[in-house]
This record gives sequence, C-alpha cells and structure tokens, in this order.
Amino acid sequence: MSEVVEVRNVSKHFGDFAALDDVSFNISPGSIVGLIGPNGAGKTTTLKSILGLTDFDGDMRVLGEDPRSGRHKIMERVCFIADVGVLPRWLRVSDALDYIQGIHPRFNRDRAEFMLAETKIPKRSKVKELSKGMVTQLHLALVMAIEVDLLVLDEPTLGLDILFRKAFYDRLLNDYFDNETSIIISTHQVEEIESLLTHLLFINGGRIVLDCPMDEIDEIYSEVLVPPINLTQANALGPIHSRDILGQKAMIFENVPREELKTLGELHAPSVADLFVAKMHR
Amino acid sequence: MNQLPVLIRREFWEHRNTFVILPAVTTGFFLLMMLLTLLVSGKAAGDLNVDINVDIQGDQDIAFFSDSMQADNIYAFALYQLEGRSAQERARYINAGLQALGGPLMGILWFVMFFYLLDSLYDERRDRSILFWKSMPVSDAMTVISKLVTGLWLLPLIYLLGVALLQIAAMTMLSIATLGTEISMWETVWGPASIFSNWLQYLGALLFYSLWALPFFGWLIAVSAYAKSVPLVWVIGVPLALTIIERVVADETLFADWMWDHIVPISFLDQEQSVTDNIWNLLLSLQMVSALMVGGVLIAIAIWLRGKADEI
Repeated sequence: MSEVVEVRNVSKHFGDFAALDDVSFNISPGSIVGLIGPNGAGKTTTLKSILGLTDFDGDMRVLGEDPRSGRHKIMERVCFIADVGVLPRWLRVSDALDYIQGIHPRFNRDRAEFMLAETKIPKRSKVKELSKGMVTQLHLALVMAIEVDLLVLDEPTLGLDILFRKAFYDRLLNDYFDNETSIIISTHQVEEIESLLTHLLFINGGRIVLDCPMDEIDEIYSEVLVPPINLTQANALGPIHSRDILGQKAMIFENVPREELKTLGELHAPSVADLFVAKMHR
Repeated sequence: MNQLPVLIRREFWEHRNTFVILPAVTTGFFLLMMLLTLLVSGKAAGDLNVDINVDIQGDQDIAFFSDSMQADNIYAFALYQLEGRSAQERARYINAGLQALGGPLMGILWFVMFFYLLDSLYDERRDRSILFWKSMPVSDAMTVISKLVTGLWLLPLIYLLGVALLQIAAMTMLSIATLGTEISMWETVWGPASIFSNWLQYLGALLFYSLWALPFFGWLIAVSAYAKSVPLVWVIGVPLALTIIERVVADETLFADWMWDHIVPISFLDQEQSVTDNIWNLLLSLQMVSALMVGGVLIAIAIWLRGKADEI
C-alpha cells in the first residue's frame, strides 16, 4: 500500500529564518504519528504544508496530490483540528452541521449528532458562547463524523484541562481510530500521547532529528542507570545524553548492543520524554 | 455535489445583521413612518388648516398650498396634486415618486455591498477561521464565487424586496386617501403607476451595475484577500495614488474618469435617456467588455491570493 504522506526535501523560509530545513519523512496507512518538538520547531508549519494551508519548497504528496494545488481535493479525505479553536465565533452548532453536510461528501450527520448528544453542547448555541473545551469537543465531533484517510491534529488539547485532554485522546482512540486511518498529532506534551503512538517524529529547528517506529525505539535506544564506578567505561560507548539520578547517571545510548550495556548497570527502554530531551540537546 | 447553496447560506449566517436585519428594520421604519403620517398627520393637518387659512388670507401666491392643506394628510395632498395633472404628467410624477422611495434602501445597499466584499476574505484570516474553512473540501474559486454571487446578486434582491414593499405600501396609502373622495383610485393612482416595470427597471439597473462595476467589486475582493491590515486604506489609497500620479505625471484624468465611471452607481447614465435605454446602449459597448475583463482579472487574482492565504 502506498504512503499516505510523502515529504521529500521540503523547506520553508520566512526571510532568512528557515522554519523547515530539508525535511523528509513518510506517513504510512494506519499509523499514529507523533510530531514532537519544542515551540517554534516547525511543527505547525509541517502540518500546514501537508494540508496545503501554506506554501513551501520541495516535493510533497498527500494521498497522491500536491497539497499546493490540490488542497480542496485532499480535504475530502483529510481532516484537521488546529491548536486553538479555529471555528468562527459566529457559527451556530446546528449551522456547522448543515454546512459540513452541504459540502462534505464523506460526512455522516447522524454520527455527528450522536457525538454531540454525548456532550453538554447545546445545538442552538454559537461557538462564541461555548467554553474552550466545548469548542474542541465540537470540532472533534464534527471531524469524527467524517470518514477520512488522514487526521491532522495540531496541539489539539492545548489550553484544556487534564480531564478534557484525557477524554479527548480516549475518544480519539476508541471511537475513531481504525487501522485504515492515519493520524498525525503534534504536541510538546509527550507523556500524554506516548501510549497512542505507533511512530515518532522529532523535529527541532526545522529539521527532523528522529524518525522511528515506536516498536523499534527500544531496539535502537537504551537507557542505562550507571553507577559511578562504571562511568568511564560507559562514557567510552558514547551516550547521546546523560543526567543525574540519585547519585547515578541515567545514560541514553543509540545503536549500542544491549549485551555491552547490560554489564554497565540497570538497563531499560527510555521514555519518549527522556529520549526527546536527549535528542533536543544534540 | 453542488456546494453553492450551502456556501451562500453560510454567508447569510455570518452577515445576518446587514443582510436581513438591517433592510428589514429600515423597511419597517419607513413603513411605520408612512402609517404614522396617515394616522397622525391627518388630524394635525386638519387642525393646522384653520390657522394657515386665517394667516394667509388674501395672499394669492400661497393660496395653492392653502387649498391643498385642506387635505387630511400628505397622501391626500399628493392625490390632489396628481388629480390636477394630465395623464402623462400623472404617470411621470407617480413613477418618479415610486423610484425615489427606493433611494434610502439603495444607498444603504451600496455601503453593505462595499463592506461585505471588502471584509469577505480579510475577516477569515484575521480571526483564523480560514484554517477551518480551508480544511473543508471547498476550492478557493468556489469560495470567491459564492461571495460574489451573494454580494452582487442576492443581497440587492433582498434590498429590492424592501423597496417593493415600500412602493406597495405607498400605493396602498394613496388608495386609502381616495376613499370618501371623488377621486378615482384607478385613474389617479393605479392606472398611471407602472409598478411592475419599475421593479424590472430596478432589477435591470442592479444587474447591470453588478457587471458594469465589476472592476470595482473585483478590486474590493482582491484587496480583501491581500491586505494584512486595514483593507479600507488599501482600497481607497491605491486608486487615489494612481489618480494623483496620473494627474501630476501625465496631466491626464483618463484612469480617474474610467474609475469613477465604474464606481458611482449612476454616473454611467446619460441623463437624456431613460434608464432602460442607457442600459441597452451600454450592455454591448466596448467599455462594458473592458469592465468585465478587468473585473475578471481582479477576481482571478483574489482566487489566487486565497489559495496562498494564511492566518494573519
């Protein structure tokens, strides 16, 4: 099966500043990709490029189309939820349903109504009358009623409290995700989505610094708790990151055989958050 | 899937205040004024007559008004004025009156169209909702077309509906004023008034204006798609600068004349001819073709800019 998204040598400059610097990666069908990076790393620019919402240099195919020229065709099979609510403030909930029903060939109104009925959102109210969490719920309900091949989420839970965030991801995974849909989520709150992901993309300074399937992470990366006595030996193996934990050093290694590491100390797979920190510091 | 109907509905949801409420309130206000003049001024004018007659006795010049003031109200006044005229004059006065009734609504319409088009592709970028609209499978061309169809054709229709209501109301008032008098409702009021052809003329003039002023409307929507802030400054500033440059550098006013000709709703009319004749004469003129071409290019630019547009 061909890739959902193919990004080849994509760059984007704002004056002298490179928001994206020669970025390449793929998104395969049925994967849930975490696009993780600090603020200003290029996450939003990457996602907007995929969606055809911004211009860029280089090659990109989204469901076989160039997003720069085929945005409206792509959007029949791609949905997008942006960081802060982008639903217009004057839009009524019931009108939003009418609107999408009128323009979107893959919208299932009954499903959207069902989703909304499970929230506290009144159908007659306007977006400006809803709380921030409700706007996100509304957007999610609208989007989940559209049968798409790719869902793009740009910091979808930013500014929401922990209850909303948990409910959002639960709903996404349980009610929405099947093995035919791909999802790409950008965030800097790694811990919350770690368990959902099948693929990791780290981005920093407009460059992809890690592109790896989740199930290969612990084959490639290992974290060892090194007691002081083994420090010299451990440093010789070239850890990519090290930090102090209770008098010991937690060191992360890349592509070092486990057999060699086992002798140095307690060995386990690094958490995505620790791996992220390690990669960002290089 | 024909997206146009729901895209147009979308425009009405967003602009309910200026598309529906404003013309309804304006029409309602004028209807109320009409009704009040019928009910209230009837008495007041009657009382007033006594004083006036006393004051102006013997003055021949004012006797004409004095006579007319005997009428109960302004409709009766108009009625007496009409009755004293030849059939031809009657028709001219009553139709001029009907046309004039549309003035306020048409004036408001022009400003509503202006600001609607000017903000149409600007507001969505400013409030970031463009990210939502562009995440829907609607092409940029379709988006721009839906806004033009709404602004240039549907919006004038609504305002025209208000005008029609006012005209029917005025005719009704006049008819009521004939009751209890010798004046024939048919011969003085309904007969000479060509109300349907008046509507057709309005319709024709509005449709004509939407094409004739296409460079103006195209310019509005192109600026709306381009400006990063205060589109009003762009929309006025650029033509103004061009006019000044043309004047200073070439000592010409060709561009300025052409521009004004296509902005001011009535400047294209030759006063010697009827509106209908004017329109027929200009419809297939070279100037019309050039207007459509310039307008078309500006609209294409707006579509292209919408494709590149991002939040601001």
